[in-house]
Amino acid sequence: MKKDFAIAGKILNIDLSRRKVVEEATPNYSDRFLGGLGISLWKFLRELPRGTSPFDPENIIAFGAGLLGGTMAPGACRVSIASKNVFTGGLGSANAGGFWAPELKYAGFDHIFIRGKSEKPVYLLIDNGEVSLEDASPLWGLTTWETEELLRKKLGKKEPQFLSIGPAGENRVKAAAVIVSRSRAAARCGLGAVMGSKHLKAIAVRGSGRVEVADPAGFMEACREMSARILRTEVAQKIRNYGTPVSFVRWNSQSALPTNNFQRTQMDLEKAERISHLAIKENFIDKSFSCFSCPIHCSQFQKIKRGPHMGTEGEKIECQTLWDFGAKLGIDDPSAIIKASFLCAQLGLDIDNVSGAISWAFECFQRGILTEKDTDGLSLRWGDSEVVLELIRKTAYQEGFGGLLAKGSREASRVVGKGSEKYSITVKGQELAEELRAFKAWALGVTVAARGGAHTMGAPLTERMAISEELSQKLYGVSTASNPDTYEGKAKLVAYYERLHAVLDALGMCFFTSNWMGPELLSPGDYAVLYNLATGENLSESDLMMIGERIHNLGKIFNVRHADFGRKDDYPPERLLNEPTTGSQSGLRLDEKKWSNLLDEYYDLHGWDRASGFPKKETLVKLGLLELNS
Amino acid sequence: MSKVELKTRENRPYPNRETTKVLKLRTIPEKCAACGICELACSYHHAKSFSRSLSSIEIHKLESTGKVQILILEAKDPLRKACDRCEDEKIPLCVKWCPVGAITVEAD
Repeated sequence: MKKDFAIAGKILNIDLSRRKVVEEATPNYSDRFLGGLGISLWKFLRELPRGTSPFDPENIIAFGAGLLGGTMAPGACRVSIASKNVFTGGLGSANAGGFWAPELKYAGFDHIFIRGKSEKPVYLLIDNGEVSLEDASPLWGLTTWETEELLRKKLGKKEPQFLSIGPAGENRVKAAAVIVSRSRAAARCGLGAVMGSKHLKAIAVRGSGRVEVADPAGFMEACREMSARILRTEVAQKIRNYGTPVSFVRWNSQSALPTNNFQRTQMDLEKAERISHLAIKENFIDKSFSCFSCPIHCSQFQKIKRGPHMGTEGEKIECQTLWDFGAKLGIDDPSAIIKASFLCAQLGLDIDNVSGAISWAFECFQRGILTEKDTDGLSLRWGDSEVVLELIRKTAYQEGFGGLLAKGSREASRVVGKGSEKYSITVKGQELAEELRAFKAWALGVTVAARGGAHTMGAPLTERMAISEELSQKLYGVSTASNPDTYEGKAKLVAYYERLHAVLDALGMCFFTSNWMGPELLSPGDYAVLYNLATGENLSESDLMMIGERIHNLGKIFNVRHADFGRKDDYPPERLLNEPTTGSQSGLRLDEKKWSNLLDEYYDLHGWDRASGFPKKETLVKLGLLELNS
Repeated sequence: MSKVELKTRENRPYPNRETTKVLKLRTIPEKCAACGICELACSYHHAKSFSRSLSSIEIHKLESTGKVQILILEAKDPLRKACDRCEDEKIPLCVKWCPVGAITVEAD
């Protein structure tokens, strides 16, 4: 009998209503979908009834470790969490690093599916193959940091790894995230609220097992060469020193930040300098940390040593933290931004979604649509960090005006009316975090992403890089990867990264190891080498990318079936079509006609119907998914 | 900064290494990023597979303070293999693999 390498071998199905646990074999799924979102979506498409709403007990939430999780593969640490998206009703997918996913493999499981709803708050304890539901009443109401600390004390010296929700998830706030290993957020799509709706506070995992690969010596040699190659790059060195905030000032200089709720696209240059990576490094960064099995170390431990937030300490802020609280809300005090980021981690909130709702409210206040009578007496002025911190807290607890923000800007704007709908900047109903107008492939990748506006499902970064036409042609089959102004070739470029990102998610590997970050980092061919050495299979680079295409199609099918999304939902928000960029690169906007042509080209490349976006029958045949043809 | 004296189980020098001097393993927790790559390299050495609990090294990250402990296990733990100094390797694998030089071997 063939030995299944790299996987732990078992999948857990847990029904919280009936308190029942059923195991099934991973290879039933991993042979075709590898792991992560691929396995989750296949299960959802077969077992989740249409019309299930995110908070119905019948809804399923999945936690997948990824096929290479727990091995020495660089950055193979990610957990892929999926369920119904609380904003869109379609695909909810979020991903986090840390230490949890490898521990799940060591405990003997590749994936967990959870359905039903517990009568009382519970946490799930997985201890080396033993699965139990434990009383979480003492944890209910606690922050994620308090939850981890209390569980660590209770469960003893041999430390488990944790993921948990905070008050935001318990209170079903749409922006609720799942917090992994204290500082990593599986942030978007409201998956923390889905956990909360099931009365599931946390999952603690402890494992002393092992992950075996088919060719241990060859695998180690490949990992060593690839790690060294990653570390030789300038981008890896930069994010080790500064984290992803290293790119913030450049995004700003390219007029590519969602300033004051996308009204402008460049933050005042002096203000941006005050929150730049250099300012943060000098005043706040203590040292760099890593997720499990990653040589890059992109996560900085920050300490606030003076001022009103003195004593605040914690790990990791991202470039997006600066987009959200710096550009979007106008805060130019880095200590307040760090404080806001850690507050969100503690309360279990996604920084993108919570800042999206708050910036909508700020613009409504600016325009007189909302007044202090609506906002519990708070004056919503751009840059007022104290008000932002207070609104974050109020949102998590659904308190007063925070109860409106907890609905997300789209639903909140329907409650408020008075033209406020125009200032809700969403894609498929979820807050948009990314400014899109300056970069066409980036715009397409973000806009069509099945999870609802996100740059982690195929949006390329190449338009911000210097890649020669020759190299571009060699890597992507188009010469325009580095040209931000043209729509030409961009559909193909996006499709390439959609496949690659789907593969990385399924392998449980971090995107930062890949050529998404720069052409000299790992390519699909490199991941095929790792996959083959780990499993003993013999897949080509194109075989692997075809699996990525299969997973990507599952996301599209799920969105059409569960959210009725069609072509109209693959357009950017109107503001980005109608209002131009400002600042150094002013006057740029997305063109509706050209966008429509781009969508045609993009749908054709994937073999999707131009009108509905649903995969054509021949596409499903090619991908081995014909049974989904309905 | 802590120093751990490395001796082979039979108290003999490293057979495959150029030096015949007794080596010392130096751990520098201040440098450690807690990536666990040393634990994986160690479990590979012992078992040709990947596991934190088959490793002779334990990395403890104290999340709230940003501090790290690096423990190297001696023979006393009945459940786990003690550090055997990677006798079949030129240098111990934890030293070879650590991306930040938080474990080093020094001749003295």
